[in-house]
Amino acid sequence: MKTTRPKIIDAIEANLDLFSSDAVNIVITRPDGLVIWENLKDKQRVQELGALGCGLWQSASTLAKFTGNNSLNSTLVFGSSADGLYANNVKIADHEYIIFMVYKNCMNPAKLKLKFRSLRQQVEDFLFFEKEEETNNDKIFSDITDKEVDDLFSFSEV
Amino acid sequence: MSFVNYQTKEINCKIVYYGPGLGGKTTNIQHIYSKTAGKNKGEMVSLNTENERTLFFDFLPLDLGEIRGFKTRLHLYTVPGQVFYEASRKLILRGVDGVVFVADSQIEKFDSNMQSFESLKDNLSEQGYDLKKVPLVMQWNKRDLPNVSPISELERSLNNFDFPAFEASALSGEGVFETLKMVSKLVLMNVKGSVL
Ligand SMILES: Nc1nc2c(ncn2[C@@H]2O[C@H](COP(=O)(O)OP(=O)(O)O)[C@@H](O)[C@H]2O)c(=O)[nH]1
Ligand SMILES: [Mg+2]
Repeated sequence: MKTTRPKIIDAIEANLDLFSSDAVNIVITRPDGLVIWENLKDKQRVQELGALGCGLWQSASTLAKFTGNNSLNSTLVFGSSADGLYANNVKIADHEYIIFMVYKNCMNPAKLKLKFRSLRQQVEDFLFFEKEEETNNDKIFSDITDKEVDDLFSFSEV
Repeated sequence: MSFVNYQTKEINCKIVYYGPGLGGKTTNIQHIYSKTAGKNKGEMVSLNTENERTLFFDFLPLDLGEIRGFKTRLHLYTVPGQVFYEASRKLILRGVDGVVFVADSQIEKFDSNMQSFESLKDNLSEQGYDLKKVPLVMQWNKRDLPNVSPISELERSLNNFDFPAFEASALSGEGVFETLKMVSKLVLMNVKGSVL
């Protein structure tokens, strides 16, 4: 088996110093809602945020098609002057990612958004130049047994 | 498409509960939530209308045990069942790894089952899936009610492809984990070692 990871993660980690505050959560998901990177303190809530953020982006972009413009390249903004959400996407070749931040008690959201856009841009540039490694298309558990599946579910009280 | 992270040794799979409105999809997920210890589950998210109907989706992240050294996490989603939410159902199906079709066994729900299954077929093929190859489990739900179609009838009308099928009463929990285990097995057998 190969050990490799999505290039986008390297891209993010190389640019993370743009965000030093604890009060800024950044989450990156694929279009199906799976989180591929986040910097949350509360790891219990990672999947929840991913599903909601991705769902929000998906429905906003579907709604936006009612404008008749199918190639709207937009930013999603929601919030007050100090707390809010800000989302965008990155599209490289066949891959799309949704990247959003949730911030609170922010003194200068405009500055934060500027940083966010710059992060997004750097991620996009990074992905553009780094080709994704070949993916491995072998089924890795094709001979799984019922016992193994039962063991996976041993946590449930049934 | 599932996400295998070799760095953290984690596998993530997305399973969608599909079926006609009021068939018991949300009830399935609620039962799973209630029978799972706190450390294995995240928060259940339900985007509902005021009268508790699913508006966009329910979502439950579930941490299973390890399989061959990989931690396994399921992302369970339900779609809204009402006919007019077709656009939402398409979104929720994006990247799906496995499907549970929750049929309402009551005789009068025969047409809604058929209609919902047709929409599942259409939505999957629109995304380039071949229905026959999708890990899919049929659940004949609400078997506790008196006015249900015989299983043979449900099989004949809805299960031409011979997907594994389970009888269930999601309200009492009967059949819920059997269904989930089967779809998980099919999904895991189908996991490819792809990174993205
Ligand atoms: N009698 C009975 N009622 C059920 C069963 N499963 C679900 N229900 C009820 O059917 C109604 C709709 O269920 P829900 O899970 O919200 O359906 P959904 O629209 O598919 O998400 C609720 O009142 C449930 O309590 C079952 O197996 N037996
Ligand atoms: Mg529901």
